[in-house]
Amino acid sequence: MALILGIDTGCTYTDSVLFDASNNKVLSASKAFTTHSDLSAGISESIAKLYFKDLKRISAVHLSSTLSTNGLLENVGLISAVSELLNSIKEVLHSLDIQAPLFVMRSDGSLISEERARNNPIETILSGPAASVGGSLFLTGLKDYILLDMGGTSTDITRIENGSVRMAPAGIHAGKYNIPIRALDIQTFGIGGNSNVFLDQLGNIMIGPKNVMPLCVLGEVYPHLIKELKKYKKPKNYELLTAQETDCYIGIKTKYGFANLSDLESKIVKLLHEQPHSLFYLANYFEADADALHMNHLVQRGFVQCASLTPTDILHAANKFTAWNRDIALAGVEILANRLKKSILEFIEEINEIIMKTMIFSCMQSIANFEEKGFHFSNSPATAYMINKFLDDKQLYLGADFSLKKPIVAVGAPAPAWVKNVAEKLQTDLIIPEHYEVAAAIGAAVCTLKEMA
Amino acid sequence: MTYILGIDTGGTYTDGVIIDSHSKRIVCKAKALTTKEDLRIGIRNCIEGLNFNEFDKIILVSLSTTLATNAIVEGKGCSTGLILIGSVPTGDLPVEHYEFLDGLIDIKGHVKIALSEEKVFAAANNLKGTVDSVAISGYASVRNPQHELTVKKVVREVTGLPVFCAHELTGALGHLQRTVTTVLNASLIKIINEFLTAVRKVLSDKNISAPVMVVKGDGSLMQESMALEKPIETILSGPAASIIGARHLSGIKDAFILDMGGTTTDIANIVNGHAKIGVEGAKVGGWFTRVQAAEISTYGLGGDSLIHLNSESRLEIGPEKVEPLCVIGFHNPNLEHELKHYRTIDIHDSKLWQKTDCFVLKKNSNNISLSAKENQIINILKESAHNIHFIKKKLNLDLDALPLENLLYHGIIARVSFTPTDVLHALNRYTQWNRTTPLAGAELLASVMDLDPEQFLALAKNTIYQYLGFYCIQSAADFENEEFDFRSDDAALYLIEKAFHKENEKLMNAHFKILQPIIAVGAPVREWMPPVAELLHTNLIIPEHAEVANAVGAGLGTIMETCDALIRPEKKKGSYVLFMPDIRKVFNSRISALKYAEEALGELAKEKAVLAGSKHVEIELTHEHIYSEIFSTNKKMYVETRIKAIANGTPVIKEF
Repeated sequence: MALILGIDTGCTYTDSVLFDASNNKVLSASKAFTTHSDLSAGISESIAKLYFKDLKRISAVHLSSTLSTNGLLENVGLISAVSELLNSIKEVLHSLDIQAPLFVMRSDGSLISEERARNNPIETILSGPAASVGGSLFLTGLKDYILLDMGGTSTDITRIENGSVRMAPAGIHAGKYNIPIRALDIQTFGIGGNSNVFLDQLGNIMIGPKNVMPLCVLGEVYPHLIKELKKYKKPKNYELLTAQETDCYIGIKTKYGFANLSDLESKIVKLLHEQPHSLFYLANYFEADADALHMNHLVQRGFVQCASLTPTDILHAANKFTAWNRDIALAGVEILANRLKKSILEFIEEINEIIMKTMIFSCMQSIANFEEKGFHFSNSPATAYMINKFLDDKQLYLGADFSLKKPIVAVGAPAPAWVKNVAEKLQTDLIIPEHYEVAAAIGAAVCTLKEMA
Repeated sequence: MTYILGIDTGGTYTDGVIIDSHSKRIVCKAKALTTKEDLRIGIRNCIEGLNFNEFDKIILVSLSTTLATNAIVEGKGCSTGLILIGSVPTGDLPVEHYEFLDGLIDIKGHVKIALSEEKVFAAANNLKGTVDSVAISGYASVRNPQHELTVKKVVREVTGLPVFCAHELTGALGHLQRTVTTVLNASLIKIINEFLTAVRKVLSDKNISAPVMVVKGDGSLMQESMALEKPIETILSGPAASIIGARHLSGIKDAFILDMGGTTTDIANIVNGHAKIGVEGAKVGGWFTRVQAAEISTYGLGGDSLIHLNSESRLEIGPEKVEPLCVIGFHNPNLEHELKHYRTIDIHDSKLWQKTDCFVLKKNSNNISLSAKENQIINILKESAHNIHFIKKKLNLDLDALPLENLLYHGIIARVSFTPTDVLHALNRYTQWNRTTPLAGAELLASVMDLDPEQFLALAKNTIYQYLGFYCIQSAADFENEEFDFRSDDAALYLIEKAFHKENEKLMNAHFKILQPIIAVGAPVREWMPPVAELLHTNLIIPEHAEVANAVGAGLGTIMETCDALIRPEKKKGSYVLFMPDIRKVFNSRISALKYAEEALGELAKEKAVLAGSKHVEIELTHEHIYSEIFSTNKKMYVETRIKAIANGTPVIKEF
């Protein structure tokens, strides 16, 4: 029996599956958080959760990944990011005595050896979305559909035609860079289960593209944060500029220690190493304005991780999904709802609406991109007018209606919660296959060395 | 039995109807081509086409026309001199030269700087002999017209020309728009005078001796003499008349009204029977005027719009209007042979003209001085209309070097080419004119596009449907008070095109729906609109007599004149100033000012209505006190009182 261990290291989650290649069967699947400060922790937790004892029987390990694009901006950064991932995984495999060869997925969906990956790290960046494509093909058996892969950080949209995906005409976009490598034509939008839900200075509800830890996840381990959020409030008339009232912070142990940190910053990080705290707890503790703590600087430099309200918390608050702590999610929702003078239910309803609209907008933009149109709907007020007519049914003289001509296949952990309305509104069938939450790891596992497209 | 004669002189057709004045039933109707070179011919053809004998029983003749609108759009008004008093408004003006006088009236109506009589005479003498009409516009003249009136008197004495004052045309503030309105008004006098003279001549030949009324842009009527004082009031009178006609013929009060003529398609929205009157004033040919007109979106697509291939070999329709091949080919059978002959010519090196273009002589050059080559072209066209390659061969010049444009501008020759009307003739849907010439045109254009003639005609048809569908969508957005221009937005066009090409779509369908019924009027709508309504999932109504709806609307118009006044507190406490056209008066109480204003304004509106040609007048008075909230207190401060008088009346008719 050929047993393959498929691993997908995403920005938010590290997923693993155990795949029986002789019988084309998924034997076991698991999910753990990606631990950016030390990737091996997340990887070993994910493998452990497979609850498979006979790890020696594994004949090959297939790895896909969506490494943070921040590292891509310096090239040195890219090589070190890829080799860090490969080292982490080798370390875990070694400790578990898994001696099978390691293969790494490329952005075009094909597999290469570990050695080649180390020599050509650029080919392997952002292979996670390609792995999801392979997973969705395997899980659905369909050949013609629109794939929505909703992860923690982003939603990737792909058109599958005759069982394959065309190559991106211009390689991969990362920030302002264009990396001319062979990659599948996959459209990425900054909305996922862990996108930050926040209010801008004008009180508009915004979602993403910034990505945070859900409050419910942090609150599960540190329930004292619920009290902190309820007790330490934003002073009246205080205009918070650089953070949100719902923000909580957890310290991260880095190899840099406390170098280059100011006195106050060192104190904050040290305090957060003991246990996480809410923003206004910190402001109160240090007797400082919340903005004066400059928590965003510490987050950017990786000393501190931010937890805040996310779509995952909204699901908890609405009692639709309760894997983690619901009370803290409710506390977070209450803070923002109060600020908008809305009830909790109204606020949740509004978030649902915004996410659905963002997803529909993203689907329509993807289709324009697949049809090689160079424009962005967000730059066209006239298009926004027409799409909003469709979304809001605000139709006086002109009615607009859009529908997809292909079914939607949705994968990724948060997909069932958010995609149902989208498919309904776009008047198309929705297929959510079994193992949808680990589709990328399955895609990595089922991939053969042959190039897909 | 007595009758009303309604006539609409459009850019392409002159339509006429006889309406039973009692039952408002349409008795008979006729359509003739407008003859710009001599309007009398078209008007006479139209009236004779009515096959009506009881001309002595006509009690009212009512006219609508797009002549003024077209003259502004094409920049073909007569030459006009402008005299500005007190201030030069910032912005473009539709005149090349102006005279400036430094008398000044302030915004409260006080004379700040007196006029110098010497300078007024000098300005008048400067204009004498150089222009055909004069416009006078003074700063704040609506608050005190004294300076404008003084200058008008002098200019009239010195020059003998028609002279127009800004305060007589509009009571609205805004020196620039008022000046633009006055200049355009002066530049239209010749055209409207010609039109009314032509109508008068034909009417007297036919022994029709009824009063003549003209439709204004807001749909109401004014009598002939007032039209000569305020020719600019006739802009957009055609579309305004079509709204009234469409409403009457369909009996529907809430709908889009689409009027497709030879030159343009106009789309209006009526709510409870009325089109919205633009707050800002009508915009014509890029100029913002202070003329009240219904909000109408105008698009350059009509039955006689040019169908041409753009630089990417895609079919485009309009906005240029030409003479259809079928009409000119009817009298010039040589065109068919020329089109067939030149089909084999491979070289057609031109940015200006296409292979199907022919030219026809419309009138003699009169006193316009022309070059030898231009005269040669006129001589060639004297025997018959000809294709451009025929002219090129005779003149031995490159296509784009042929001196055609000046001749076209002066209306001496006209461009003849392939149009929607030709599509209908080629497809045998219309049989009024010649079919073989447009067929030869279709074959020629089809060969350029590498298509069969059938494929080409199907493509042309579909393109016209899509243009019309697109214009309806644009208008719907306009009527929702959005300011998008979908044509200049690729992303919006992409979504709209999806709705029009469902068969090609693999991934996404788009549907657009017009949620109001569309009442379609104008000659070609029966052919073009049903597929468009299907495309837009809307209810289409084409009423009986739809092809002459404008003339019907003209015949059914009534008189409505409005006057506005304003009361404002003076700086000196306890006194109030009344601003009214021609009046600035101070009162010591608001009530006494209002009482005086209502009485005087009612009289003024009545006077205007009578001047407009009204017999019985009813006055409707309204006023509104305006207050502003004083910041951070609960107190309100009195700002002003706005008073409006509306005089409604029926037009004077011939008495027996």
